[in-house]
Amino acid sequence: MEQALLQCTNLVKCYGKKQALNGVDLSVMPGRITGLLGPNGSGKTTIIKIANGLLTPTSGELRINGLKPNAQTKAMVSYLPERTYLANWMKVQDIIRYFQDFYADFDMNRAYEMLRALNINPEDPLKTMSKGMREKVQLILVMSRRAQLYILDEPIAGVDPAARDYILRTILNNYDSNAAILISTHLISDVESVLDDVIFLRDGNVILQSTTDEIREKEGKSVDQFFREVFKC
Amino acid sequence: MLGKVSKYEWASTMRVILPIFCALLLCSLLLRLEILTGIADFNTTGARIMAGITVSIYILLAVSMAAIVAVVLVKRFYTSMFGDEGYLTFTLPCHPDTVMNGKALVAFLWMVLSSLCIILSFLIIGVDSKFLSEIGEILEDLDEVLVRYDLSIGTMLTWFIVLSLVGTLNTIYKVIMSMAIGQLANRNKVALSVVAYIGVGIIQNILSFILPKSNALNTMEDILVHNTGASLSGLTPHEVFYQVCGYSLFYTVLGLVIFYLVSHFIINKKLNLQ
Repeated sequence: MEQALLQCTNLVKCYGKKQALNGVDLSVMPGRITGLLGPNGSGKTTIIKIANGLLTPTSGELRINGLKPNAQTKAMVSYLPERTYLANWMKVQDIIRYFQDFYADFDMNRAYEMLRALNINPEDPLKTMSKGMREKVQLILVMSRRAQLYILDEPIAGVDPAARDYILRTILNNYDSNAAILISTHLISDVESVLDDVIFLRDGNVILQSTTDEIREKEGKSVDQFFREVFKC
Repeated sequence: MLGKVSKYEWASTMRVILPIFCALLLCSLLLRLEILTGIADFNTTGARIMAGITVSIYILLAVSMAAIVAVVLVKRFYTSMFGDEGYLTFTLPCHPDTVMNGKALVAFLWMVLSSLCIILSFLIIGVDSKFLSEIGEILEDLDEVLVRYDLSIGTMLTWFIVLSLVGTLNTIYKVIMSMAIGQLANRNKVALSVVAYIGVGIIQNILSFILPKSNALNTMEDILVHNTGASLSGLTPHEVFYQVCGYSLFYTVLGLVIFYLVSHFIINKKLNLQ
């Protein structure tokens, strides 16, 4: 049986008295693009941070390709956080060299190709760029790795609509079919077309894990419309 | 991986710290030129103003350099490990200890270099063959005195350097540990880091009164603090020196190990980047 690239088993995370994750069980399989969807505060980013070793669970476990998050899994995972995490003093070409240095699977040619397509000058310092431009650079860096698991936390939120289409096409075209992508986003209508599976989270609980095709067949509506119904305020 | 982490940490800090070093050394060169050309003796306002400005800038740089370097390094630690950049740093394909030690190593090198830079600036300003010869004579005389007590300049200098280096490492890991403690909180992380640093300092001071000390230190405490009429005459200078240095080194290393282990535990098991 194929091993999940990301597997959560009864995952619990508490911040003091607040329970962010309440016994989450989910899996992300190779060759699938999975949407991790839920309202603000549902626990999406908490799961993602645990997967990347940035938080430790209170109980339960999360495994990446059968391993607990460690240096080895970090080499397998290409992570895009929802915030700008690059050093402002660097130029784009400096950060590309940085990624080339640390990640054996980094494809420098692909990175420069994407920079050209998005009209980003590699010699520009990051501090001179707008927030949207920096987010594009971050996304290019992440998608230029030939990772086994891509975890993208809000990859298109700060990006203009035209660039969003390019980014989504890049995600589809550039990932290895044996790899997996986990996308956390609120912009469901934009990403729905690329998703194979969806996981709905509410208040730290998984309330649905299904394929997008099943939802459309069973509910007779798009995932975006179904999401709005399920999470109606 | 340690090499790569250190390399980028070095590049990140070098662009801020190196100009300060260069400014100090440049100032020293200017002062030396002024001394050699006797500019300060010129009876013109302009010359005196120039000399005055150079001296002021030099003193300001020399006095504040250690503080500036410390602030730059502390800010760099925090930003790159527990700030937004931590999302990049702690997702690198290496052990979190490698990240921590890479940054500590670079901080240690900068602290050592800043001391060497100040020494070099003094040498640039004041050293000539006459100065060197006089210093050599003083050191020889001092060594003759010390040898009678089974000590030497070389031994004392070696201990001083070892204690300074270990003390620097101790301070660096104390700062890292304080920040690691601070990031455990959900809010006011910086404030908690500062409180942790101060708190550890207070604990260290309290422990310095409680923990076993050398006979020499106990006797000195009796003489200076408790005024008991005790005397160091039962101890040779050799014994006093080695006891004081030995115990200092032991407790500094002990503190360093504790700070390292606590930092290691928090960064590996309790990382809480938000």
